[in-house]
Amino acid sequence: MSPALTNFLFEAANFLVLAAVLGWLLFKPVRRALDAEQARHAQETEAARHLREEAEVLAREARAEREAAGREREARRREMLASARNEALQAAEASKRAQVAERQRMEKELQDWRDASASELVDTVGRIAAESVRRLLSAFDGPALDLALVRAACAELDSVPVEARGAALVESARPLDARSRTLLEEALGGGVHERVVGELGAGVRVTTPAGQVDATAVAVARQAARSVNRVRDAHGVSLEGG
Amino acid sequence: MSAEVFTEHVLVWLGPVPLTRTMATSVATSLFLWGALAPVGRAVARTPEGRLAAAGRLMYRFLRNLVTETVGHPSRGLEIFSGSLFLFIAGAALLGQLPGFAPPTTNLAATSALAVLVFLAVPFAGIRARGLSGYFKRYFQPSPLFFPLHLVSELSRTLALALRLFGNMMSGHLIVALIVALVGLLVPVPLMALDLLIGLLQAYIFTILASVYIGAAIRVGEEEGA
Repeated sequence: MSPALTNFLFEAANFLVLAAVLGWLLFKPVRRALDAEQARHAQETEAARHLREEAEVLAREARAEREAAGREREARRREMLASARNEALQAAEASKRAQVAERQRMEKELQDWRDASASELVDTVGRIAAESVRRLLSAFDGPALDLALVRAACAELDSVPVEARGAALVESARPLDARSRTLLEEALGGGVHERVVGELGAGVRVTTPAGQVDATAVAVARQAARSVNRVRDAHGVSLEGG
Repeated sequence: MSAEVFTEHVLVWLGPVPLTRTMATSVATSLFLWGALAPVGRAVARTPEGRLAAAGRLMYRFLRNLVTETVGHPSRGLEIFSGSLFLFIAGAALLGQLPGFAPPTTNLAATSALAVLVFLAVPFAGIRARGLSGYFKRYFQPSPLFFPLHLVSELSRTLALALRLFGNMMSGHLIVALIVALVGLLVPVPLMALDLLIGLLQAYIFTILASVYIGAAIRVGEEEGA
């Protein structure tokens, strides 16, 4: 057999045997290891993909929750703002009402004080006027002021029913003289209950169950003041307390 | 080192069958590869974190990428075939640097055997991929007149495979042997390194070409099947 042919055939067989041996001892375990590694990598990649998907889902949920929380916070903020505005309006309204009430109270106090001052002024003016008139009448030897006022009161008492005249109280600035007492007893139809009230200025004030007849200097002054007030109300002019 | 270019040095006759020195170096190369790479396979299976296992995975991944780029997808049989070709030729070049060791690839019969195996693997893979008629139909395309050209093409490339590997390995080994015979041991060291580099390069070229030839037969079948 030719050495070249033998060599050729042997080399071919040797290589095939070598390939089989290497395929069994080297390539097969390495290929299995690589396949296992590739499968593990694929599994890990799949797991990572799942984790990423879960993370994306969680991220979407977190984003949605954050947006919902933002909307809720915005709504709550608006609600609180509206409530605060409402409370502020109510507080302002209450303050305004309190100011108005305080102003009205102060105006009322001022009015009361004005009324009291006017009444006191009227009384004082009445007394002074009565005293001045009485002195003036005395100086010219004229009729007594007190007697004239008693006569006026007696004339007024004619309008009071007779049955109501019995329990009358007669108040005067000074003790009644005899003439005045007689006139009053005739007008009242009986005894006279007297009382001296210096603030009346002059004249008498008769109080009966049916009403009061005031014929004093103070009453005249008050009547004058009321007349002045009527004029003031009609023309916008005030004579009481400036 | 020694080199016998066109003669076969018969070591012993076993009856009518001669046992040549190329056959002995081929067996030695195979045993060397077996002994060197079997631990790598065991290491990959048992201690995958070790350096040996990493080297094994790296080498196999290189082969797989080579085949995948050639064929278009991983092919287990082609990976084993091409990987064995690369390892055998590279191992022979490596052992050829030993004094007195003539690599089997410096023998034309050995390189012809490898080239003929590639020549046979091409129709084997093509028929397996596209069937008998499907594979041989391509020899008559685009016209039956092209059949002789296809045949000559396949024969010539097989011859080119054998001669390219034989010429490169034999010439490099012969030059180193001549330098060693003339000037001594240390002077030809750069040439020995160059010879080793050429051997590794030829192993890569032979493997690439074999993969391209076989992959072309497989891919043509798949493209037509698709």
